[in-house]
Amino acid sequence: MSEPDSRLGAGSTDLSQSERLLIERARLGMKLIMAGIAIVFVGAHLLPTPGRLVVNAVQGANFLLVALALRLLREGRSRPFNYLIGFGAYAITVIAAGAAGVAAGDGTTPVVLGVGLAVMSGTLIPWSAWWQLASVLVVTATGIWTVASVVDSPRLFWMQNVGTIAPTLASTVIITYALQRQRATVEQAEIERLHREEGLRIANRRLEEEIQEHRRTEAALRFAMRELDHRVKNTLATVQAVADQTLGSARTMEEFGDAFSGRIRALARIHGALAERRSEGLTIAELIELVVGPYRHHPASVLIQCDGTFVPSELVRVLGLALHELATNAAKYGALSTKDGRVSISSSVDPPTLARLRIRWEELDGPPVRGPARRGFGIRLIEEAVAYEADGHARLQFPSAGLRCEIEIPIAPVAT
Amino acid sequence: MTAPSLEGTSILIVEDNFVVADALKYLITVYEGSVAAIAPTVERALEALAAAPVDVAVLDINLKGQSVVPLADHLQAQGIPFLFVTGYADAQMLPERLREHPRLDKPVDAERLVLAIRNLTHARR
Repeated sequence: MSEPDSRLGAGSTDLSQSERLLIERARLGMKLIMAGIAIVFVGAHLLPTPGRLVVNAVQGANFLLVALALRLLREGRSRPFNYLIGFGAYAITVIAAGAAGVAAGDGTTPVVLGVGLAVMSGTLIPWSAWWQLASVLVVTATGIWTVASVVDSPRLFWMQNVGTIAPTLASTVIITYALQRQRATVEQAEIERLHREEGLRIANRRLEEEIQEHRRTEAALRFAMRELDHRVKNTLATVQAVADQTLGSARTMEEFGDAFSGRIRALARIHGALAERRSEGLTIAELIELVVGPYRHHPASVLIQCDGTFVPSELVRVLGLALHELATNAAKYGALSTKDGRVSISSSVDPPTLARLRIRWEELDGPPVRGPARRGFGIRLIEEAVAYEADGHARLQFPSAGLRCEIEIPIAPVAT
Repeated sequence: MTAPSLEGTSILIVEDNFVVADALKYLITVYEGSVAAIAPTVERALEALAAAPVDVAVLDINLKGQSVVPLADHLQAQGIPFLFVTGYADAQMLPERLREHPRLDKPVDAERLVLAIRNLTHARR
């Protein structure tokens, strides 16, 4: 009978554990049965027993068969097989006890068979500890009643009952205790499993959150990329427009080159500074230093008297370009074209509640000023661009002492 | 092939960046068109529309954070044709009802712009 291993769910610890316990219990029961048979065998020799030869033969066969069942019972065999072996060993013992009783002339054999069945159901079917306890009680009660009803050969019957009932009782009590312990172990394992599952759930949730976070970042990045694309294209459009207009108002290629690269450099510095500030804007002092600073040929030549008034990013470019035009003009024709010439730039917010930013550009000690021969792109960038984009005013004046410019733009009121 | 002339066409330019608006204006005058106005905001554009007749409008989509869509709806209601010049490559930025209007990407190609304006004025006639 070599059935293949048909245990379900090799990974299920609980199942294999209960199976191991079942086999353990059956083994213990069989060993106790064998011990019982041995005791009865000895007892039969000490007492005057009729039909001793037959009784001995039956008991010998019983002993050997139980020993064989003990060998056959093994973990790893299929469950029905193990059940069959265990049940068979008990059944043989019950039948043998009955046969021995008949051979010895005992009239209580049917009762003994009943007792045996009760014992088997109690010990072999591990439904619950209560079930087993009840079985033990039934077995004990039946045993007591049987003894009380026997008159002709009480000692022999005692021996027989000691051979079957006592070992089974003992094994039942022991196994019940073991089963309780195993239950506790299984419960502990169940609690640990729940803990592990909870841990897994938490880890899973965290992973889910991280994925969500990642998605959000990705969406933000995509948005930023589109925004960047938008800005780059706008910047390229500006560069193209600056090139067209510079070309339109330049008289020579050299003049075009100087003016164009100057304007592009100024735009680049402004973009760079805005990028460092995450595009929020610059203070007016920073913007002026950024654009006009490079034209300072000695420390006193450019005097900046400005405060920390904030210029938002959308106004920084147009204001920066206008200031660049003033600076480059001063360097070419105005105060910054001579050693002693100076430029003074000051700003004020006035009145503070209305938040209009005024910037005054004043050139001093430079060469005498002549008004512009024509209205080129540079002048339009100063006067028209600021008015157009910032909804402000810019006015250029050309007194002979030095060029002046006043720029006025509305800005958001500042809390400071 | 020489680009067609824009002679006799009055054009409104709505663009927040002065340098770009000024260059578009210059470009249109080179092709003999006339520029009714350059406007940095929807409000200024509406003022310009009230002040002078406009045949075609050239619109930037994003005016320093302000959407040009209300102006486009107004132009559509007035039956004034228009096209978009934008740094936004995708049409998602515009509502469905405005997606059929021509769009040119920044930086704009002069001849393509002039042809697009011509197509709009011809379609109207």
